[in-house]
Amino acid sequence: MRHEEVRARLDDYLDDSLSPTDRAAIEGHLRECEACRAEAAALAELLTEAGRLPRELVPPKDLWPAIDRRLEEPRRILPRRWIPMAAAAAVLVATITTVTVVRMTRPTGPTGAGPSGPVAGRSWAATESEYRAAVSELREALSAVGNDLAPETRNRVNRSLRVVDAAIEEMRAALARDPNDPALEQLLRAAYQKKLEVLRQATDLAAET
Amino acid sequence: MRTTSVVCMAIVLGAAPAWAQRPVNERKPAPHDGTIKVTNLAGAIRVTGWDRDTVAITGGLGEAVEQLEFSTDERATRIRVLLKREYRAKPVAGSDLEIRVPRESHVAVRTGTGPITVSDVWGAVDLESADGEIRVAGTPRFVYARSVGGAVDIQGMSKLVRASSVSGSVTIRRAAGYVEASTVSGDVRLSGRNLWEGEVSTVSGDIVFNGSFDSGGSFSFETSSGSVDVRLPSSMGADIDVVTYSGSITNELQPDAKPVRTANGPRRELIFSIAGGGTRLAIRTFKGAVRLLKAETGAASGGSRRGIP
Repeated sequence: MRHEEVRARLDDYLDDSLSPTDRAAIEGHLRECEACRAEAAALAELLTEAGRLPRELVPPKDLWPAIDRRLEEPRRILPRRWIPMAAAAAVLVATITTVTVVRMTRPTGPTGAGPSGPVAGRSWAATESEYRAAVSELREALSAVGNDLAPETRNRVNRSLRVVDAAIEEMRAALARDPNDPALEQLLRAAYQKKLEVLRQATDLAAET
Repeated sequence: MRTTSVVCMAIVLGAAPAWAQRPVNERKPAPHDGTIKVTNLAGAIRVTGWDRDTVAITGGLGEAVEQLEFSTDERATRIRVLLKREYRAKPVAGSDLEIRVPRESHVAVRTGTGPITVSDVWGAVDLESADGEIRVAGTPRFVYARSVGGAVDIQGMSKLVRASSVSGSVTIRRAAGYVEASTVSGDVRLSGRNLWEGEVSTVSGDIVFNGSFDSGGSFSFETSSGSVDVRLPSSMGADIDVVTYSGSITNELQPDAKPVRTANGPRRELIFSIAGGGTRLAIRTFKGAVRLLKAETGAASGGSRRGIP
């Protein structure tokens, strides 16, 4: 099984809704693939967190008669298997890039507004280099499947990437003038993160198509 | 035990007008809180909860459809509109389906170009569209919604909402609990009460927040060039931290608190507390304007923009 196929079915796997054959295939892949194993573990962890969310709803009574009916019912705890598959999907989406990005979003050096230093400068450069490598990988993945996207979707994705790129260039220029500005670094990280999200979303959609 | 019904659609091309749809009217028993997974690459999907342990599909299938797969077992129902290969990733007349599901179901829907509408579903909902709008109304336990080009509009009181669009807008009304909202160029409008935690981010889109937070929560607003309007009740305790590289800051919440330059460059920072502090709010922009405004009475849950410059 390919990585993409396994990742696309992790929610079903954890939801125990796969056939024995598919389940065995995924387990076989997970035994061999550390990256997919890490994604499965992260997904399982988020499902557990989602399961701990408070269940109570306290809406204004005048707005939601349907909720009122629900509130009158005895509250019950959802069985584990019904913990939101949406949470699973959310984590799946996040974890596709998390493995790459987690290291990059960690503070990698002094983030105070103190004087610029060579260590801090190198830290951001290293972080940015990793972002660029991740972007490059995702661009490659998208170019492999991008023709499966509808033309208008492709155009929207490309236009949005240009918007993000323009923002990144502006902030890079500002950071060159004010090196080690922690707020700028944070905003730049966010912009790179957004670019990764757009690329990944487009790649996922194309793969699903 | 799984029961599967596959309806093969032997439609001869050219035998009907391009906009013609073949009617569908099928139903199957389903668990009252099972999972419903729907895939439709071309056309609209409307999912509505009802008080029956039955999944019912009505509507019409477009000419490009190879088959409608509708299967159910004791845990899950799967509905897939499969297109003929030659039509994939091409504009085709869509299949518009209305699907009734047991109200407590968990619902996952994927569409290509068509909109997704979900209402009156109490389980988790997980919605994704390439270019279609996404609308959710009611009180799903959890909402996850994302679109590339379509707007996302969520109106309800879910405890956990993650909504994103690449170029469309994101609107979340009556939010409560944890919220994440993200766009590149679309605007984000968020209103609600008793929010615990979350983050809103855009690249060039504007952000408008109107609401209140639970004490002790934390929330961030982040944009490159969009503006950020945050409207809070003056009685709500909050510790507010604003940093903008070159944007302006307007502070009506506590006019005495003035932004200060904290570095050699144009970066400005404003840190202050209102009503004794409590919720931590962080606002970051590169060049977008930040406006901190007082909420009008009763505006928090309605998302009113009155008075916002």
